Amino acid sequence: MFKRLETVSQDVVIIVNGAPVPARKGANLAATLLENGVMPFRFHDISAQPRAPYCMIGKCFDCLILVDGRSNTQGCMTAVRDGMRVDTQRPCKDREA
Amino acid sequence: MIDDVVDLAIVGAGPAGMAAAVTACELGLSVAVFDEQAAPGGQIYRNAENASNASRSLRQALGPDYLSGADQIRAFRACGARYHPRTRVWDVPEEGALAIVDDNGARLVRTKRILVASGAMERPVPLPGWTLPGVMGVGAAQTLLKIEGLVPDEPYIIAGGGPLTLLTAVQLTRLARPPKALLLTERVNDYLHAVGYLPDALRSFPLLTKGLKWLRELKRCGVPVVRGIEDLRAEGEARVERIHWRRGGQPASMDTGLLLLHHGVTPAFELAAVAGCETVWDAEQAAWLPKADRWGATTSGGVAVAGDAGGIAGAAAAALTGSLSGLDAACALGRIDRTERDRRAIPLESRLVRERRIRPFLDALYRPPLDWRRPPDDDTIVCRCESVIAGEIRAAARLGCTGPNQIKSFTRCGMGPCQGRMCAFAVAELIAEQTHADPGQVGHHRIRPPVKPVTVAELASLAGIERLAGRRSGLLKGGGT
Repeated sequence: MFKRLETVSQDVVIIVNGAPVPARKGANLAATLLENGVMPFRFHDISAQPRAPYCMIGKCFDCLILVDGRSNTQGCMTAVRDGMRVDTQRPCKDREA
Repeated sequence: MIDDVVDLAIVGAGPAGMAAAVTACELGLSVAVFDEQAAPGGQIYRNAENASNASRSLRQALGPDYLSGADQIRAFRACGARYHPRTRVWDVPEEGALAIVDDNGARLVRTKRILVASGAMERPVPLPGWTLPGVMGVGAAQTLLKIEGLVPDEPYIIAGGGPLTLLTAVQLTRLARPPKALLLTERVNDYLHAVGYLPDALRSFPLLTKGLKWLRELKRCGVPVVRGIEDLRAEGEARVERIHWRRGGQPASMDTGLLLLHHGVTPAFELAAVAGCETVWDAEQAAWLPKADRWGATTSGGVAVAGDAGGIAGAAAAALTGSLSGLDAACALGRIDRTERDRRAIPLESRLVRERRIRPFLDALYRPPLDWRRPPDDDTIVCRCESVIAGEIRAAARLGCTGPNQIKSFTRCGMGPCQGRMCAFAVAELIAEQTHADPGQVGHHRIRPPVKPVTVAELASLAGIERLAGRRSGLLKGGGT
């Protein structure tokens, strides 16, 4: 969907849906996922429809994703950390223990 | 921190907040600036500080206006204000207090005065299929370009109206990624209405010609520009695959995996509202604004507003209103007298008049047409969080719901995590349509703390929470009125 114009040093690895993805430490998580074709970010809690970032500035709450097991994390407001585990978020009825 | 009182607490480190901080610090105030992003600049100058590391072609595409943000950021960094990045302000629990949350949890900040410089957001305009992955704001795509140097890697379409549609199309075209088409909502009638403001707009000639230049550049590069589009909708399964629209009654469609929408920007006034500032409906901007005087002082004691949060006027005007608010804060705290404040304000206000001249023209030309603000198709999702469709809102309004708060109780529209930011305009417009009222009379959702998400764990960490108990805060009382 999006690609990077210029290569940057990818100094960390994050785990996206179980697979390693090289990334830049401190990069915007939502942007990193869009660059790597991660789509959707979540399935809507009520409709189960696929959703992905809309506003990229923390307003729309559609980039919510599971980060290190924490649900409803705003991808566009999160910085990449080494070893971060990111998973597509299922509707809440499917993710209860 | 709780007993550490600053003179001025500024919320937002965009052009308004940065300029206010610089002015206030110069005049001897102790200033703290809170911003939810990792670096100063606001959305307009997002990541501008690092632009010098970008390639020449990217810098050229982003343009001199954006690059000039680096100077403002440098001045802000050097001004002596205490800058708190990655910090969300979620309540003004009482006069002179801000409730904030950062990586260390929640806490209260004491301040003599508050300046809300929270900026703007792209106006959400619901249309069928706008929740599909691959449908995003034009501003969102521009943000990806600014922060990570990302460009669309497949054919994409830009639709809507406003200067940002043209600017972003031009930026991406200069990077050899032109849109497949530029679909504009503007109609002949909008031009006729806007022409009335043209004499004033002509006096800000450089701004006006910038838009025309961009349009010429796009046409020269072979970007198809279609005006007067109606009934835009997106369809697809896992993501957008195809869009349809009408023009002059004729249907048209195009395949695309990426649709970028834009309909201007609207003030982010939630924090001002939760601070008790009275808001008014501005029919020209079709938006709610905090009521404020020439210094940005609101109806709530000790709370001022600056920049686009107080009414959309652009980055240059934002910096000027920020400086004016900084002067007024210094005056209120006795650092300068009124005569000195007024003297220093003269050059700022005359520049502000120039900057604002083009606004009525832009407002008239780019205010989304009524059939865009009031989604005609009842199946259109209006509330993205709770999946509430336009038909449900119309039905509730016909049943007698007179305002967004009742609609919320009936349908859950506006009850999700975005707290109504994405649906408030459409809800007010749909109620207005059904009750033959004006969106200003309909009003907006009652805005309650926390205006930014706070977890229970973060709340539990709030130092001095007992001091809040029993006060006006909705924090512990559930916000009921």
